[in-house]
Amino acid sequence: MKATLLLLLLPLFFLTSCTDNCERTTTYRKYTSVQLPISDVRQAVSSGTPQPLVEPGKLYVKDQYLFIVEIKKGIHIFDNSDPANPKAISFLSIPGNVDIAVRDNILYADSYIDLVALDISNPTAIKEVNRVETGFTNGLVGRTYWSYDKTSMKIYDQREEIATTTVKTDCEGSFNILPYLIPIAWFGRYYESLAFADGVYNSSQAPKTTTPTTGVGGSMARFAISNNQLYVVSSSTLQLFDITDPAKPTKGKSATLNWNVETIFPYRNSLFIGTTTGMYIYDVTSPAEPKQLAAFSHVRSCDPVVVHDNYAYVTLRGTSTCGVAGTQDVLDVIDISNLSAPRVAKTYPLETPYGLGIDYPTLFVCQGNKGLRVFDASNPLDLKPQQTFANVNAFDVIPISKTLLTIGKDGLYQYDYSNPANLRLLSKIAAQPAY
Amino acid sequence: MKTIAFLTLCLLAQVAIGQSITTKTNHWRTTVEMGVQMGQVKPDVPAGYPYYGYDIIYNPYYNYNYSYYPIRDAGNRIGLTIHAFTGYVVRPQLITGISFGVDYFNNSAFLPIAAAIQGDLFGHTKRLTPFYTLESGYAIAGPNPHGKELKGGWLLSPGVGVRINKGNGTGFLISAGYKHQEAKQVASVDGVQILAQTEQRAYNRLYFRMGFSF
Repeated sequence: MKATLLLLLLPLFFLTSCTDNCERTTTYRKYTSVQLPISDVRQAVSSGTPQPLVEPGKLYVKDQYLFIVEIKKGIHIFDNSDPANPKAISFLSIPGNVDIAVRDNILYADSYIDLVALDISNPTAIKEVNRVETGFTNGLVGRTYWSYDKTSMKIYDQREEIATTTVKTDCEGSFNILPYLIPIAWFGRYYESLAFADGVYNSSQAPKTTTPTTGVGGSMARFAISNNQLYVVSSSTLQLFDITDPAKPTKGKSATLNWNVETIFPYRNSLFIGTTTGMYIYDVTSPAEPKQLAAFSHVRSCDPVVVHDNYAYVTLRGTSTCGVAGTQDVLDVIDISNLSAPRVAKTYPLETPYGLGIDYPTLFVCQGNKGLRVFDASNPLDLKPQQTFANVNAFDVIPISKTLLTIGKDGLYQYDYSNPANLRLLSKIAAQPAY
Repeated sequence: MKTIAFLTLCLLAQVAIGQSITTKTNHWRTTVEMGVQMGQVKPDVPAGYPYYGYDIIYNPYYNYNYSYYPIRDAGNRIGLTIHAFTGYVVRPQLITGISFGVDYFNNSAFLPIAAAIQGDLFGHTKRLTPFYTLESGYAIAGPNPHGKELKGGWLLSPGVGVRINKGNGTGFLISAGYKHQEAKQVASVDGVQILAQTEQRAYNRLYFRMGFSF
């Protein structure tokens, strides 16, 4: 027994070596450069079979149809006549698409350097009717940057994917270099992983105008329709398109904006432009000639603005580097009875607020991973929280005729808010995010 | 290191043939030892953003990538180890109990708690008695540069030694053996560029300890 025991112990010394075996596995975002000839991009708009939601972007509602942008890929079209059971109709492939807006039966979508007009009178058979160059030759979409080279007629873009790598290390662990702010700088702009949704809805006031709920951190193009003008915004330019004849958008004036524009929100005769350094109000009484009215630098508007009557509701996130890091997460109520001199009427602290929507007297505020919160805004100076949905990931909302559409990382939720104190979940279109 | 261990083993075998001495029976055995543990490590690798397919570090302030120069040499590592064992004597060849202690690997400390068995190797209790130890357990991560990120893991440690009996149930111990320790580090990440990073560690060491048994 003793001898065998000794023999048993011996091989143990030589079976494994005395070298440490350590392996580090990293999951990260990988970027690969892609080149697309512009001729390929222009031919690619087509209607096809429905696809699953991966990275939902802007949301648009027209009649019973839901248009959900799939960032840089196209538009998902859903039949939402029964909000409890939305049906996917088709997927419109539009390379480079980030933003959309609808006027009558024409849907405007951007496709890298182009503005495409699509006829949606029959949403099951959508046709391209017109295409016009926006004049923008580059863009920042989320964390990726694209640019257009005129001489080679190519779009240079970046494809983002999640990748995993494993390396053998010396077992002492790694100390990652974390930037001093939680979001990281990428090509000179700050970006947060979660800020990526938008909502647009048809205003119930005038059937011809569309009033978007703004907001989105990350995407470059901003669309807004007011009167007969389509306002398209890049990070520093406001470009107007005359859409008196919706199928023939005509390029109009352009204004240089000296700030990083994030959001644009038309309301009545004004245009509220949210930038990284403040909110600017333009008068568009003559729609083709926007005139700057006021600059309101208290509001760092990476996040949406919604306006109702004499009050603008703005959310600010302290961790967002659109503003100043370290400022508190708040919901600001701004008195805009005098458009040339807006002032903050009341500030409410609110955790990680993102997009908002208003159907007076109910105000809906998205709180990212913290969910969705419903307020009674009958008195804007005394907002009363009514309900909180903590299990939803919510970036933006559209309230429309008693159905609330909430878009977030895990998909699109629809709630019935006929009783604002008690929202009822109707349906969910799940998204399959890569991470 | 392996050669030294082997030679020690051979020496033990020779020493086993020797004098015999009578000892009082005691139902409990406690040992306390202290020593060193030695091993080798692979080269250090940079912990940068694996952007464009290889490990380099991205500098967010200046918007460029720079190379990383390893600050730690590959090669030998040596650390302190303290070990205590307490067990019940079933027979002189089999003592079962638990062991605990402190081990230092590279720059991290672990606190192992293990189920252990010890016993005399050749059955006779003499003045110089060879013994074996075998333990398996779990080590808790102690003070280390990564704090809470480091989690402990499974421990396996076979070993042999020689005990110089003093006559009244006490003795002086010299032992050597092998220690396999696993651990895991879940690194903190920015969540935007790097989404997750974990390091699975398996330390392999050879230890030499000296101590007392009573």
